[in-house]
Amino acid sequence: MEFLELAKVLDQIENTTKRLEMVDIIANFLKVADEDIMETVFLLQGKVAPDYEGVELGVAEKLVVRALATISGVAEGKIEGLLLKVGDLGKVGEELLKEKKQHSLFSENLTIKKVYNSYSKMARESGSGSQTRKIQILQELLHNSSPVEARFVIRIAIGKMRIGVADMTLVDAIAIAFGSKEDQDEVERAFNIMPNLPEIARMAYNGGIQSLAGVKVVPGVPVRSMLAERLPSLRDILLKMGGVCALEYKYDGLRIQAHKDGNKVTLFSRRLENVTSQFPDIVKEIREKVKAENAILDGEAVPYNIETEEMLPFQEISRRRGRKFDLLETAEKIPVVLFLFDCIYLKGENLMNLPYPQRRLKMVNSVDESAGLKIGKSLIVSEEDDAERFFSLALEAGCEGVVAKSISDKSFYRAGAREFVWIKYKRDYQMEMEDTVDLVVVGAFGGKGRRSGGYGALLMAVYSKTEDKFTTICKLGSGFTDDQLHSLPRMLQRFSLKTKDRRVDSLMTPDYWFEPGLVLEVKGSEITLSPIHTCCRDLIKKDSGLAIRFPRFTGRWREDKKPEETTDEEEILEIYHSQKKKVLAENP
Amino acid sequence: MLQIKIDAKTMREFSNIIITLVPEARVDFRPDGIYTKVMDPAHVAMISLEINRDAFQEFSVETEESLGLDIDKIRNLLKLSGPNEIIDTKYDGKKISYRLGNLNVSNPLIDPSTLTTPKIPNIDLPNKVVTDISYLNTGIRAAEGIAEVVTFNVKPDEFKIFAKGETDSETTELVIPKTMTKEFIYNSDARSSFALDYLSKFIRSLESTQEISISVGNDFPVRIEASILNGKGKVSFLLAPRIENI
Repeated sequence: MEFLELAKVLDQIENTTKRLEMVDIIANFLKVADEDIMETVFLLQGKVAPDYEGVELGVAEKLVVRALATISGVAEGKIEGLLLKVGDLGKVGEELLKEKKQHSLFSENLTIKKVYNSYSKMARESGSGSQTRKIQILQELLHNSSPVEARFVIRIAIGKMRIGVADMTLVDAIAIAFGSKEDQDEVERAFNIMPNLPEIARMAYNGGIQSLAGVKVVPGVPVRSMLAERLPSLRDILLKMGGVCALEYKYDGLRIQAHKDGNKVTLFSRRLENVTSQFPDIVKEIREKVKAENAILDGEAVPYNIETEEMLPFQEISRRRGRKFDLLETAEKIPVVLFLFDCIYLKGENLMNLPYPQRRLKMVNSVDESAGLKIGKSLIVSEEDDAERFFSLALEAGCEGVVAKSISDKSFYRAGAREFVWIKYKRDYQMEMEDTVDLVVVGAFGGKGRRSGGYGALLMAVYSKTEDKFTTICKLGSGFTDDQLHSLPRMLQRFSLKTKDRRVDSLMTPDYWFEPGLVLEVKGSEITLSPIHTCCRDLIKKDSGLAIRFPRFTGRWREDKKPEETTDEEEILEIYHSQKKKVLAENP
Repeated sequence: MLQIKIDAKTMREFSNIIITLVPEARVDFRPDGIYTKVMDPAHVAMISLEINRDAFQEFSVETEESLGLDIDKIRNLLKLSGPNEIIDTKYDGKKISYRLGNLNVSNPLIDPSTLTTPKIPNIDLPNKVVTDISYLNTGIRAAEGIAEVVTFNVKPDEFKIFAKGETDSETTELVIPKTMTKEFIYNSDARSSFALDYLSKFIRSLESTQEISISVGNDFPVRIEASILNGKGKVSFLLAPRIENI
């Protein structure tokens, strides 16, 4: 079929905002697409391959401008000027072709197959000279394009379709084209476990909607992630769950679906992009520590400080994106832990229709936990107090909250669904700590890995004037240079004690105790409630103290300060209240 | 099997001509010489090129072969050679290899079916001017300084190459009177404009050409034909017009 027909359909879609109308337009076209069905759906999505295959067209606007200049005979600078004015290179190209000055020796009509194959070829070009070859392919397409075709040829090339054919619109259109409206669920079911709409359309075209029942979960093809609903309080959540549920830490990282198929491990993001190459460390752990021959596991990858055993801010993980060459080094510096919380497929068996407790049990039994691969923390609760306590622990550990999971017989893994089977609960405010604080060292934990033999992290405290005590506020392991770490034992030697200083109030027991003496300047992201630190204990909430989230040494040794001159408990309380006020002011 | 010996200068001219339009080309090796036809991806220009076996130091082609050559790679090799050095080229059925002195380079071939070979359309052009290439060269280089488009104009007794810059006061004009041409066939007044980019790249690639034939119509493609390598080869260039209002 000619590409012009599809371009006209795309133009119609662009000119409607009504979803149902869009579905009809697409469905009618799919009915007549015949052998071009797969290519048609790919082009409707503006893609050349399903997301999980990681094939991207990646044509820079600049290349398109250059190709347009040759085709239209208008100078590049002038085209760039038009782009600034119009803001849509597709439209610019369409206008340029309408007034095309440069004639050609001959041209041929574009077909859907020809356009798709050209993009496919472009996407696979790499290495030296690939830019030139991409331009050539694009020039050839544009050369044969009518103005309206050019609009979409360009938009698809630069990955900005602008017409918003959502996946679900295509799901509905496929159902109507090859079955009826009632078949939407069947198409969606297939899509949820094989997010490849062109292939689904092809199957439905060839064998009818009923053939989609043959779509099975397969390692290597991602399943759409199950999502959580949200409720405003733990009490509401317990009510909704019928008085009992499992609570899990809601780790603040990158959702990862790990697929193991023999020795082959593939990792997918929440958006089902293939991210395997970014996490060689996770790949290794999955290969070695997952005992089953094949499995699909759901989890969250979190940057982790192996010294303090604390999670790091999520941003640390994003440093890995786009870095191809020093990944192994990054993996060593910013280790990532994959916390597993679900199992979708195990030993050739689809577990999606088993209740959550059974899936979790199977997962626990098939994984050897290690430094880089852990089972997410979980607790069955029926009392609100227990839930609150678990929630505080989660925050203290660096999580953003908890996810409640139904443990009923119907608690299946519903791919792509957001239902009240999973309910997330996060803090309703995010606070920010602007000032640095001065904290005193009262203990230390032995180092591991690169830090073995020295200290991995320090136990830090603030001073309580009213009680003349030092209360703990955080473990500090970030922000030190190697030299600074190296000199810590020497600097702390004169404060070393066999047991806890009588003025130190701590619920934790570090490997080494010190008399409060060495003062460090520390910056944190915020002050949070903590069940394990003693600073301002019971003042805000019973059985809770205050802690600094994501503490980091600024590099300043405050040797000028006496331990009693460190930040006072009252100041911490003040910071806690002021940050809360600030958040409330911003989110009334 | 195919084995030919060619001097670097000839090889350079051959590759320079092709690269004006494409970096890869399908080249036909026949017992009497080599032939290629290429077209740029925008389908604006075509080149047809033939080199007779006499242009080679040694030419042994038993059966006809169509090979997809990476012209960029040949140019890399040429950077290492002096103009009179001989390049010994061999094709063993799988790869093509070049020997230059004691340097051996072999390149994979490109599947010729992936390279389009255009059919050169038969276009009747009413006017033809045969003249010294240096005139055309001067006219084009002058135009390049102020514009992206050049116009060819044929009148009963002259051939004119002119260009207009941003303003009316900025122009270049080179007139070749009939008396300064080798051949002048006039049928009707004609005027066509062309992208300078294509024209100048092509003209510059012709290192061994003295005389050039230019066939012009009205808002129609131009055909430029030339003999190269002292008559041992010939090239034909077809370029689609730009329709401009000047």
